[in-house]
Amino acid sequence: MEMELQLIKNLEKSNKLINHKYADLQRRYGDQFIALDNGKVIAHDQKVEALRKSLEDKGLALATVIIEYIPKKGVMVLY
Amino acid sequence: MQIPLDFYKSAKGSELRLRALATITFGDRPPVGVAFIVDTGSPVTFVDEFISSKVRIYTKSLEFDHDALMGGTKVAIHRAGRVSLDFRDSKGSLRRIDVKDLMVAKTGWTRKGAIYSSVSILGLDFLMENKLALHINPSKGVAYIETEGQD
Repeated sequence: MEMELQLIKNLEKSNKLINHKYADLQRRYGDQFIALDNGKVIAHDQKVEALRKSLEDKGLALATVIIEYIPKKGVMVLY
Repeated sequence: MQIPLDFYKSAKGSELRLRALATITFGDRPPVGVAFIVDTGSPVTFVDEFISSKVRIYTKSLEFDHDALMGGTKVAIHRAGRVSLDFRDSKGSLRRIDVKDLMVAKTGWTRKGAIYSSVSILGLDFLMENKLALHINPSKGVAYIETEGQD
């Protein structure tokens, strides 16, 4: 269970980045998908399929990676 | 027992997010992380295929269940069977909640100009199936899931 806790702590760091640096992320990656791991942006692309492929090609451990769409400033994402 | 959710409100209040951070374990595969959007408007809980693909589970090998429309996108929902979700509770310990039949979503088509945001949703069915209560007080920034019974 130690592994699960570590994974969640990692996710919390990435979530914190989204919450507290959203304006910065919009400036840098607006209208793109970003991949986050342990509180850092590790890849980005306008197309989610291309982003996934680049992550696979890099051979990264993906267990803690989350993908987030960052809209342009002034655009809100609803589900 | 309470499982705190990540409720975020920006200083100006223009950004509001409610998420549940968890790990998901498919059978005997190693756990992987998932950040759910908590959406009681959704009757179904699902993860994006990106999550299951981390442990090499793809929708092409799963049973198709139904299509769903999300804004301008059609997603195909597939059944992944029983999985375990682990959350961090208010005491910092792990809490495991099993899901009988988790769904995995794969984008079918996206209307021109629309974007599928590769999202995983924690829906109303998850609360119902596990007899969980959802407490939210946005003005106080409090949000958590609570289980029935003692702990």
